[in-house]
Amino acid sequence: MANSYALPYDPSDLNWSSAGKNLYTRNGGSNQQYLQEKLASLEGGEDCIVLASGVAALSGLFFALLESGDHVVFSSVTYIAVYRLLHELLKNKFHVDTTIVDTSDLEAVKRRFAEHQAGAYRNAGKSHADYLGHPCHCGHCP
Amino acid sequence: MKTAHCCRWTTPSASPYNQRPIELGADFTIESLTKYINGHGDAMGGAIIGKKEYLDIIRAQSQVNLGATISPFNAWLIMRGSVTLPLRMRQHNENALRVAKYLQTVKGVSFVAYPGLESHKGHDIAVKQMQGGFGGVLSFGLHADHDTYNRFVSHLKVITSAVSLGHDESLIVFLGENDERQYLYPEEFHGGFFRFSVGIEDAEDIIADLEQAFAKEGLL
Repeated sequence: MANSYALPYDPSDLNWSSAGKNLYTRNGGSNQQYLQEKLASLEGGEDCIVLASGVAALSGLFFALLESGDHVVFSSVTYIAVYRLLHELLKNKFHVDTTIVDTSDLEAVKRRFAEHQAGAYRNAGKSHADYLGHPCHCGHCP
Repeated sequence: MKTAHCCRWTTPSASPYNQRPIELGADFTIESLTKYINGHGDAMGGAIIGKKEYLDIIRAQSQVNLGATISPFNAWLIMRGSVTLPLRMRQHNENALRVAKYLQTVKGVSFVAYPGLESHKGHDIAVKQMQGGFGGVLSFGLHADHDTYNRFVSHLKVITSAVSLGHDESLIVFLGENDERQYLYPEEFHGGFFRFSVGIEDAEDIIADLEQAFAKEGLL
């Protein structure tokens, strides 16, 4: 549970931005690593990143994989933080375009994708889908 | 990089015990570990699960340089909490279904939204995709005005008025009629509704708590 780990004899050629070895806890640590391995296995996934909150995971994914000009199709009943991140922050600050769709209507989702991929949308970047739709419409608050 | 990603966030209703989106074809799963995976309402965390080629990018950009790293103590608490995930999920699933069925019998309840109920429009999909159970979260409305919703909550003794979900304790939140996204929701939600995270207490205690609060407001 350390913040910092012992450095090698000559640390001068270390990559200080590396997440690959225990160096400084912001870059990763042992407890995080064990939890990541467990969750990857539970979810049947290849790899896992554990972050400080669910919203950190959402913003971490969006920040890393979206670029200006991309288009995101997401559910009308998505969690409020998804709505704020995509429809307000990334849209207004970084020009990521958004379409909100009723994801219980799969034909509507396919149509939105097709429209986008045919260039009907203003921007011509990649498209992303968040197929999230909460059946209880409970995404208003944390 | 592929041109389209399908990302699915599953935590509120599911947890990996009930549903594993990657096995259903999603590129990523996002989990709020704060909810069912930790399960005890005493730690906060989140996870992205997916292919290493993408996660390496996210790790470098969003963890190291945005700095949203989990604290080692929270990671440890979540690891410990997760040991009982299957036990807790079985109880959440069973309790929520019982409570949902009970709520359907109460005269003062205007609607109940829970994917485990046959009346829910997503029930058939839920049966296919949520093989462990339907989770612990449901929503319901009252044939009542704004003030009655708040008074109802004030009568509860076992169920706590608080946000978050997936804790061992039952948590309820009143979402009012003025939410900015109300227009995106089905009509029955427009007059306000409760989000109810059914906990792992004895189901009879949860139902008795609801019952006495309904009685005090003349809603039975």
